[in-house]
Amino acid sequence: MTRLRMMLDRWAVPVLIRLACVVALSALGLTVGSIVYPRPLLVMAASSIGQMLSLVALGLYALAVLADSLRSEKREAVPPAVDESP
Amino acid sequence: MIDHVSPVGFVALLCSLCAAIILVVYLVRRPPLDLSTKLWLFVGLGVLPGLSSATGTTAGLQKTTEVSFCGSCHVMDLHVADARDPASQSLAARHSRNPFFGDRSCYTCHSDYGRFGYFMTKLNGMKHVQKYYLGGFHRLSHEEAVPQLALFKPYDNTNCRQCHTTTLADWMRTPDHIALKEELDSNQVSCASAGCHGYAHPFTKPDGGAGVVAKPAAAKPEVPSAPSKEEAP
Repeated sequence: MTRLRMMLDRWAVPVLIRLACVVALSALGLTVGSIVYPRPLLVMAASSIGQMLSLVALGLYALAVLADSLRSEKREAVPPAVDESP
Repeated sequence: MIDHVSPVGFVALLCSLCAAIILVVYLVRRPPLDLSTKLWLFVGLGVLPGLSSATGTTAGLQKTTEVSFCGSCHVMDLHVADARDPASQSLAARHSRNPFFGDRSCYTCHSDYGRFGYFMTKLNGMKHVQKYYLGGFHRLSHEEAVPQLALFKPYDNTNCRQCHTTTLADWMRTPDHIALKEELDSNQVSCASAGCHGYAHPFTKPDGGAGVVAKPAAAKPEVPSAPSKEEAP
């Protein structure tokens, strides 16, 4: 669990989301391709690789949201610096 | 280009388009990750792609039941041409002209029935793809491929009996039916064999399916066996 937290701390949230978007767009491309040009390989690829990519994209997004919420928690836990100047 | 797309396919296309718009807008604008952005991304990465996958798969599976899909492998060109030929008298062509079979005649006759019929048919379809691309069929000419095409198992008379129930008086009145009842029930004799109703795709036979349809008065020299080499790979 601690390791997962450390990994999530390291990962850049915007990069994860951008990656999720690109992966999801590839999956959508496969789905659209299989509907517009229904050939055996495309239909098989869309219903196997396409769905897998969709799941990976959703997983990446879930990780990004998790990482973002962990960082927000950390930010809230750190007490605000006290201004000691006279 | 999309005139062949079914209503389910259009739903998949619409979901894909909406999801793509959301994702591209995010990639271009890169807004801060507040609650609203998170919700939009959830719709664009979870809800819409999920719907698109489900409807896209349904549309894809529907498409796999159509003659045009079976004909997308070139080794099936002659089968499809024969089935669509209005002058052909082959069993496949005559059944394809029946509106009930329509543009799904390959699937209607070649799909297995029963509880796992659909699943088994799709599984066999995967084997067809594997044989076509990895088994070398994609490199063969029609002349080379057609003699090598074979069913994975002898054609099951149950498929014919989905429509031809074999319980009506007309069927019972035919002496050959009564004489061969046991063999027909046990698939030892195929309905689609020379001497009976003829081969479904007679041009695939070495003699071009000569004597495809038995004449009522013709004597049968021997009991025809179920064809083992016929039709799609």
